[in-house]
Amino acid sequence: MKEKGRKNRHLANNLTAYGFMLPWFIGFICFTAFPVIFMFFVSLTNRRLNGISQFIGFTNYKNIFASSTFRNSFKVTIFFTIVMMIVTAVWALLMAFLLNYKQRLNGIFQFFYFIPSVIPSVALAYAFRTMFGKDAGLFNALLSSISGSNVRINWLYNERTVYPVIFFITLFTYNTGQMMLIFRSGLNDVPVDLYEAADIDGAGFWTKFGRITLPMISPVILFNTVTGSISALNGSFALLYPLTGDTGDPNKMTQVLSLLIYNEAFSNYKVGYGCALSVILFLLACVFGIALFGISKKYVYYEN
Amino acid sequence: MKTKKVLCGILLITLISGLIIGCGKKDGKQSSGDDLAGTEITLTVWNEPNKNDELNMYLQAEKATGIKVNVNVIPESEYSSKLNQMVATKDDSADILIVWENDIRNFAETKGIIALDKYLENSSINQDDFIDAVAALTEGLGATYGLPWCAATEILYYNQDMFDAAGIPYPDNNWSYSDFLAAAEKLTKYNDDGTTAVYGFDLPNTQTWWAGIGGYGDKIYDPSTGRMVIGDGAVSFIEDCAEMVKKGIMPEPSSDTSDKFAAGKAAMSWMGSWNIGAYGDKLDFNWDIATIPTNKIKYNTLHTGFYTINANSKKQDAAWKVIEWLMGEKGQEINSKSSGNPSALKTIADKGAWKVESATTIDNWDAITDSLAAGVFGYTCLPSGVTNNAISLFNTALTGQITAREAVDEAMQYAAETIGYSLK
Repeated sequence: MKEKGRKNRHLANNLTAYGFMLPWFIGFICFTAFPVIFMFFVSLTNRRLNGISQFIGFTNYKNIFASSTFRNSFKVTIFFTIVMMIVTAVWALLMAFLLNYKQRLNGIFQFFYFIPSVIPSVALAYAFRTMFGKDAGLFNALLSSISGSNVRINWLYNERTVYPVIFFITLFTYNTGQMMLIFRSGLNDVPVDLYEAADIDGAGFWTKFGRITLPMISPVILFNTVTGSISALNGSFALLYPLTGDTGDPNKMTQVLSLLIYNEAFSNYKVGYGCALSVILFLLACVFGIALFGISKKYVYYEN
Repeated sequence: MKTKKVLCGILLITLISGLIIGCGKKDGKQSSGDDLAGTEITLTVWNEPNKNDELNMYLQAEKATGIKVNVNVIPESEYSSKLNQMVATKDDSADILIVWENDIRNFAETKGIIALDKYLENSSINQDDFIDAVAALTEGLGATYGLPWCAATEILYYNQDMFDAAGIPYPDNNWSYSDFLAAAEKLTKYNDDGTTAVYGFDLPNTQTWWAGIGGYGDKIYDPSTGRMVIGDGAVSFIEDCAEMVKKGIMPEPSSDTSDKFAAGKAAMSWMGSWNIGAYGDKLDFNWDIATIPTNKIKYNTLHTGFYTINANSKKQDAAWKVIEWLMGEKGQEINSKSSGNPSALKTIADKGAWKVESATTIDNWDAITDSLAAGVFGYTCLPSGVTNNAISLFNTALTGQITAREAVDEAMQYAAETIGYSLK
């Protein structure tokens, strides 16, 4: 009798827990699992934007791998993701480090640095596009007044300047600002006594940074690199489309997969093909995540 | 008791009559004429209606028909894809869809829009009066699915003050391409350091690139196969443009978004006829228009949209009544006055309502009629992803990163991959 009562209580507890989890499960099934499965299903069809659809098996995938446009886009995506992840993480860590120094007006400095991060990416990109214009751009005007000559660098259409400019712009995106705040909280959690002990031992700045700071914040670095790389894979569209996406894009140097998916699905109306590209992007994001977690086993330090 | 029975009988008859009347009226489907007054319909379009009530054709249609017209403005960059999604999902939120050239055939074939023949039978709209290109575009559909709301063309805009200063005679509608190139060179002004102060010719835009290529004789679009057809003509035109960029006659493609012609930084520009209405009397210099200079052939692309009725609309009769008014003389006149685009109905276009009154410096209005006569539906029938990709490659060639031939070959390859045919 007692055993039965215990079992009932256990069951009731479990049901209560599942009841609380149910909204999340419903959300996950409706907004994550179903779209992913549906996307894979549509990728096996030649569905057009106007609804015409026919099952064609793996033809989309065959066409994708035969396409030079896809091969270029795949290479650009890998390059763009890795460099963007490194650039934004290093910059965010540097900013967080500087902000962690106790000095006057720190809050104001943080506020002004974070302000561009809360501007929508599309608006930010349009503003930078104007600033980096060739004939009427602010940066060229600035360089002209400094150098005393008529500077007309075609920043976003020149193959030598387009990447540096785009990576510079990523420093002001929401992703970088968010990373900075997370790094800051990570740095604050490093026990001060470790630095004090290192000071007693005569350790310099770089020794303390390499032997104490980096290992102690390595879980935060892992988190930021995983979210940063997935954000670069999926979110770069909002930044690149206004900058180069329409009829810019020098020599296809900025045609990342998310941009190609948009073009195929909404400009060429090939929804089935676009879904097949999305499946590949999804798998690429998985590979990035798995690889980073694999690396983390060796380099990330967990105190417990 | 008898009174009660009578009252019951009256109530019963009233109830049954009410039911019969209520059920007799189909949901949203109107018969004709005055029954439609007070009905509310929605129309989709990509540009805002004119702010001047007299030139707002939808407002005037509302007044004339008694049918309330709600205008749903969808941004131009998203317009076609939104309409495709509406058709795919059998959306009934809009009754009149103004459909672009590249969509009308698809929408008709997928039964997203209805055939208008049953309405046209009893209408005063004379389909034989449409410009020839319209009939050619919808050929083979077996019925009339849309009526063209206007016919816009591409023309040359030039700064008369700069021509006067350079001592060059104004262009006319027989200007040759070689005269144009020579004038562009003469009109260019340089700064002391060798950079350009005023360009002779502005960079072609996403529309007029195709006018230059077509002028060299490339077909651009083959309606019988749906393919993009460019080759030696495109290579030659890109090379001409690259040469002009190299000499500073034409600006290099860049992220600058300013209109160099309007800003007085370019002496000539090729643009759509709809800019006449936008410029009006707002420019600080005298300007006029001419046809795009004739190279091997006289070529420019026609632009239009088609009034169509959504197959899922529950107010098709009301939608037709509004379309009929918009296609009538008054509706077409207001459209022309508002946009500067002629009617696609020849007899209405001949009356000249499209001669924008505020554009007082224009003498050569024949440029519009000549352009219309030479115009064809070309690149607008191709998917925008294909044409944008091609222009991106042409721009890359202008900056010297690839050759003109490489740009054309790659554009053709992508078009083949996207549309689904082999180049071999």
